[in-house]
Amino acid sequence: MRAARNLIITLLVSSLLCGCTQTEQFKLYGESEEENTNISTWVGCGWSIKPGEKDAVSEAISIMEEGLKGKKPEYIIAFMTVDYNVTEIVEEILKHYPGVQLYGGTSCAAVLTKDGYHTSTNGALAVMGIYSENITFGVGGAEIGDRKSAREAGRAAITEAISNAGLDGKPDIVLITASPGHEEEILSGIEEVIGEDVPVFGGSAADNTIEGKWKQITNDRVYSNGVSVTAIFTSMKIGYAFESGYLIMEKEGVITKSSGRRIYEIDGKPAADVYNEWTSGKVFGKYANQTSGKVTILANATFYPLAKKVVGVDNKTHYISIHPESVNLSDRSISVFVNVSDGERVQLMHGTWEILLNRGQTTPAKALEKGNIEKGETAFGIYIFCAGTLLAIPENERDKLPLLVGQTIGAPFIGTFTFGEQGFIEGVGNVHENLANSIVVVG
Amino acid sequence: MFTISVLTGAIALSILIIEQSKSLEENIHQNYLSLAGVMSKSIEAGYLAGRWPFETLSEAQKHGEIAFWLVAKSDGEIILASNSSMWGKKLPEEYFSNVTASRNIQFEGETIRLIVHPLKITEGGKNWVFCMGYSLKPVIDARNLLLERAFTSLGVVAIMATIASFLLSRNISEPIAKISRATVSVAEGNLDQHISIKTNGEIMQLADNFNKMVKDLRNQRNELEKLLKQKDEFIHQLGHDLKTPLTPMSNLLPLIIEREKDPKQKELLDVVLRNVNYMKKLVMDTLKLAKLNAPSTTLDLKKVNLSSVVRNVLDNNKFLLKENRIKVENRVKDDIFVRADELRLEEVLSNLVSNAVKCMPDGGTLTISANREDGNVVVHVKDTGVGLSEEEKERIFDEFYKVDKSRHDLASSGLGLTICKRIIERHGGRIWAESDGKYRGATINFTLPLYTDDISMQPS
Repeated sequence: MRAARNLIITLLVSSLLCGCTQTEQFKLYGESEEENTNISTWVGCGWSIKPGEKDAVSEAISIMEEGLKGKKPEYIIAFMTVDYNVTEIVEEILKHYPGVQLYGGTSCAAVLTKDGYHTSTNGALAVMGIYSENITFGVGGAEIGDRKSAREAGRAAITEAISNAGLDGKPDIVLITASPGHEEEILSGIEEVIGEDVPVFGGSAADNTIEGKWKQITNDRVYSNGVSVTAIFTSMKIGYAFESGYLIMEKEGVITKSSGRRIYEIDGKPAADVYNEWTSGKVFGKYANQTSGKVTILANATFYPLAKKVVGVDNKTHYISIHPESVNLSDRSISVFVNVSDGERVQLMHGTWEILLNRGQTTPAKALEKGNIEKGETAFGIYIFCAGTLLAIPENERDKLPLLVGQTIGAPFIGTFTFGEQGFIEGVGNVHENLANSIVVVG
Repeated sequence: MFTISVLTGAIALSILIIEQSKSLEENIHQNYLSLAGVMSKSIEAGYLAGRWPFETLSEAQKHGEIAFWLVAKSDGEIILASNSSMWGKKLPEEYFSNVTASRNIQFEGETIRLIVHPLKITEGGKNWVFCMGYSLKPVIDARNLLLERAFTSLGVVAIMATIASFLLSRNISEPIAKISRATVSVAEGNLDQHISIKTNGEIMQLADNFNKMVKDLRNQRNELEKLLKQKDEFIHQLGHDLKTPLTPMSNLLPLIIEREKDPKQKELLDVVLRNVNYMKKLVMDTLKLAKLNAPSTTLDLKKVNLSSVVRNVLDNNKFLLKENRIKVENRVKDDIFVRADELRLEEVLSNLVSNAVKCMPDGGTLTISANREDGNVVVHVKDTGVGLSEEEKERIFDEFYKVDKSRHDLASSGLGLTICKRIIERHGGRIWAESDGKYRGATINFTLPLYTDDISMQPS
């Protein structure tokens, strides 16, 4: 008994001496909602990662309707990953809003809204609905396979879009979602209709594994190899920005032999060898001595892309980023995701995932400045981000991207991850490039 | 002592471990402070460059147990954070500081040390801040593990010490205590002790020897009691055998003397009668003393008014006192009660009065007084007679001792004071003599228990 008593006393002392320090609970105050001064435009953004198209659409629409505050959207943008059946998604959306102008496409791995970075093996869906007294939307599209060329498909798409808008004249800005591979031709077709001075912004539809599962959405139509456009007519302010953000390195040369989207020679030397030398072997050095076969260099080349050096009519130099996709070790050519031609100057660029992630605030900031829009005036944004650069960002850092965008523009937005980006560069015109990000803000 | 030792050890160990963990905690904190400084500088540089240092922040977060970090503008808005849920929220004013500060907080169920580092980015005269929280769990876990191990060890030691203490107690201390208690009991007269110890070695040997000794003592006591009993029986029998012939002699001789006409024969017969009466008194007193010595004789103890007994005795001896011209002073107060056998008390006082008279052959003063002292009553019987020498004071209570040996005092058997002593001792008191010397009188003092209502106060 005495022994037991002694033990109990000992343990009690120890527990007392262990020390119990009172600490306060760490609390943060709720988010301060930006008061949107734009009372002519109602925008709602919704998202879902639920399994099943019906439930996903139902949830996303429900969240979207909170932002619309009772207004029925006249225009909906929908981006989703290929884990969902796109056709069923479209059907479900149209069940909620028959006759709404619906535009969108598939995104790689995830979608974005102001609420965050949405990804799931079930699929990810984002929708943005807009009702505005000051904006007219027209959606059009075309299947490339149904046309003689991608150029004709572009023409047909914009024509339909303008027609659906019910207005004459050139739109103030055009949104585009195209199938990868023919972006330059499509842009040419669009420009034939609306001219070269109307900004066209968007991205090439993507899938998760570059297997061709991408889709484009035009109202009730879903294309596998098509183009979907939205013609926007508005008196509101429009801001936009389009950039890759990479650092320009000193290494540069002239494409001396190329074909389509393949560079054979730079400065008369095998392109692969020149590129390998420029990158000090960091991209495919260990394969450089092989003389046959093909090596995919997408991932490493994300940090060492090339850029077409272009001088605009404003005499300013612009860099159109090019993503090297693979190297043919036999002919030492490099396959890229943009059209190239002999005589074009190319320069090496370099970037880190930090640079790429920071674009989430620098690009929107430039767009606001371009449109002379104050943060509180922004009604909505549409954000395009290259899928290749997304995958270069560590997975645990990706959720910062929409937070940076939302923090900068202070308004609802929808974002997608693409396999090519199209945008307007002052002094150059509409271009297609890789590894870029863009944003269109309306305020 | 054991409890105190264990407690002291526990407290000392706890203090040591806690001090060690505090020191470790401080070292860790300094490291995190440095890290917060580096992260803050990178944020300041990033702000100027227009590019947030996500790589640096990401790398830094991999080190240690960083729970979260955030950057808050001067209005509290969080514009960068490791946790996406924190973006856009507001940092409460209380966390802002112009100097680097630390505090403990609770975050997602864990204790976190929060470092607030002001940034060199200002808005409206107020700094932005960088906050970093790191988990104290490793330090707390390490400390708790140390404490747990220390106290487990201490507990084991305590258990082992307890077992050892128990074994020691059972095999050594307890047996010795048993033997000690038994020895005390034997010293108090209880010879029925027997120690049963189940152990080995010297302790058991000691116990066996003790038991043997007690057994021998018990046998000797029994033998002694037997002899005493035989002695008492002998004395009793002898007394009766002596008293038997003396009784008719003392009864018949007065009749013969009365009828004797010859004066010379009458004188001779008076001598015989006086000797017969002396013999009879001697036998009676001897028997009385034997009876008092017998353990079977009990006293009839009750509440007795001392003053009343004294008055009775003086009254019974008034002729003797008057005849011997003895002045009597009875100073015993009426409120003194003793626990005593009243008849035997009377016998004591009667013997002392008789003795005092003998000591004052030319008359004198007899003073009887009493006072309460330490739960007893002390009675003083004082005379102004022949006094006592030092030797006489010591011996007057001895059997057959007579002060004046030159005279054959047939009125005294030499056992009177011995009988008084025995009676007083049976009452649990004591008796002694005081005198300032020859011809200066003497005082016989004795004590009796003061009467109280506590019936447990019984004289042995």
